[in-house]
Amino acid sequence: MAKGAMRRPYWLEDGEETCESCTHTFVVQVVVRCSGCDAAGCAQCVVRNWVSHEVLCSECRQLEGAE
Amino acid sequence: MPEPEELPDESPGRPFWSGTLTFGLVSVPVNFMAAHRSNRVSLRMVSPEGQPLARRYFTSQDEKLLDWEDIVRGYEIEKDQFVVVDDDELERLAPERTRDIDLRLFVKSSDVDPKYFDRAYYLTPGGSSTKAYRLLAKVMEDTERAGIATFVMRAKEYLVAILAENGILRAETLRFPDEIRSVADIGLPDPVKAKPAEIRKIEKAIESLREDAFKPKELVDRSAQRLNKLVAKKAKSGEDVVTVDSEPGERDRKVVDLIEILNRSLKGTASAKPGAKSTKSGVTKESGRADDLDGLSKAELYERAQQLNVPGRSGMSKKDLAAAIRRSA
Amino acid sequence: MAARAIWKGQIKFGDVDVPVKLYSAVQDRSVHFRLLDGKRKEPIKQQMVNPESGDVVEYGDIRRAVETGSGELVMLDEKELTTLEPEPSREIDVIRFVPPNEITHLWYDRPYYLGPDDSEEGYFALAQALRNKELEGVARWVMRKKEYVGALRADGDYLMLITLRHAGEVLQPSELSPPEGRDLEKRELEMAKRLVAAMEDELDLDAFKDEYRERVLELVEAKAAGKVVKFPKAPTKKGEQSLADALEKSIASAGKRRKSA
Repeated sequence: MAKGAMRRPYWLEDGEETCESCTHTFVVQVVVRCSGCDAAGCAQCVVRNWVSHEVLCSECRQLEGAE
Repeated sequence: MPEPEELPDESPGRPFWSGTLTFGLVSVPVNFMAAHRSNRVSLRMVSPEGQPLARRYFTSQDEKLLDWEDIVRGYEIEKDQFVVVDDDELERLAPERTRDIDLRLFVKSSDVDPKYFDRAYYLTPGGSSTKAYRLLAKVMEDTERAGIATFVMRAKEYLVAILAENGILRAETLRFPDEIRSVADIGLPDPVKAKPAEIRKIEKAIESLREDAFKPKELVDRSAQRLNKLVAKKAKSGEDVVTVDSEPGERDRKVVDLIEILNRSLKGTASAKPGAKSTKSGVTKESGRADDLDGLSKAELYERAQQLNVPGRSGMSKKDLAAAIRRSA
Repeated sequence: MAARAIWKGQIKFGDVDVPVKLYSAVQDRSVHFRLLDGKRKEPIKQQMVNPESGDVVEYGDIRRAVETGSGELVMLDEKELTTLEPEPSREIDVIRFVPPNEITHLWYDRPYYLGPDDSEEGYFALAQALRNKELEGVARWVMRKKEYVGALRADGDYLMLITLRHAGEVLQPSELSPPEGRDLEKRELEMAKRLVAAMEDELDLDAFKDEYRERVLELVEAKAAGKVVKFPKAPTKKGEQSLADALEKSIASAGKRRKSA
């Protein structure tokens, strides 16, 4: 099938969820929850701590860095 | 080429998932419709001149614009190291569970711990008859039982409780047990015994705020109220009001009367005359154009084929799907 | 590892004042994917673009507006947006107590554990009082500049706060009309009841594992190691049959499963 005939994948669609960092909206399956504050985020905005494997939003990441 | 997994549009009034509940050998085709709606106006991002903005993607190095066809998804196995995974592969990981919810366990509805509940969806009949739907709903409601099952959608497995109320089936997605922390996981201290006088004092304070019925009014969204009020005031005075040719669609879901859409969808196809063979009602629900199959995308054709229970539909080309739908309808 | 508190506050009603810490009861275990440039397999960035001109609008220049319909937008400036924010507060204000089940799951959003902050006695006294009274509280509070509503409940010896959706956000079953059709046959109802009974058991949620999540991670590992990925085969569909036949056969096979178990 030609590319143009395909639909935009759901992970690029707008949806009911809002990233609390960048305010973009997306579908519920794409939501990431910050381990620090439970805020909803998108995979583009969160940062993984490769030691603890925790996923943090940018705000919590900054707080952690300051500690 | 795999068939499209599900309907991509998640705005209210559109099915979130369409598939079949199986209950023993009984099949109940259903659509999942969101049981929630947002009551706040959405704040859109606009340019300084008031032009609504659109989200676009760029390469990180040279900032070249990317079409969505140029974008893939990857899992980060180590810092900055990605394994690309496509939707086709993800779907093929669970072919048996992407279209069926197999109810094999029934429990007392009241047995599910509240912290497990995630989201609720109303199920509307998807097939040519509402009989099996009504039968399942009636029996579950009368016996106060919930069905428990799992299914896979959009690269995610869902644990789900199917409940019946007011003759309507609904699905409440549940969190998996390993997603729920225990008190020990949190590290809360062991309980200490409180003084009876202290407990009584609190009980008295509780008693003075007691009501027998919960009033949803008490959950009013004050932030939304403040925003709505400000916007109404500014709109009335014409202050900072701009007129634009806005791209429709980004967030135009406010205009939808969800209750009406749900009720229409709940009617299913049983509203057709008894004995009538037509299985087109599920087909007309979305567009009203039942016969114009050529204008439909493969996703839409697949959905119809599914409602008509066309055998072998998952392997069919767009043309085959259209032909099979014409034969079955 | 003990979880960290995401917020601190004080439960208040009447002359009751209990300092608490809030912990998420949910641990996100979903597999998350990043958006990548398909050619270079590198993360991409997102920017807001004026679709008319194609120009990128930097985040600092982005403004907010609300659509009022018919192509009209009302623009809001920073100052106005700030005035819309709720007053910061540490109070979890309990405004009402109602019997459990009054607030149905349809209202539920996310569950949080509350833990004691300083005084353990006040905390456990409140949990005990809620248990004795068999009631739950309706609470309002402000956290991270957002207004929340929630249900304050006893969970065993401890306290939980389940955030709720706001008024008007839940479609109630009573607002909807159930599907209609010809009366169900008694025989079919009886059979369906027997079938449900045959499949009835105690609920043990621990028996449910997210197997799909494991398969996704296996897929990722196999691909990373350059292995050939094996996909499971799709089962063939069962044939169509009448409702009564299907019920009858199902009861028979459910009964057999029972005996062999």
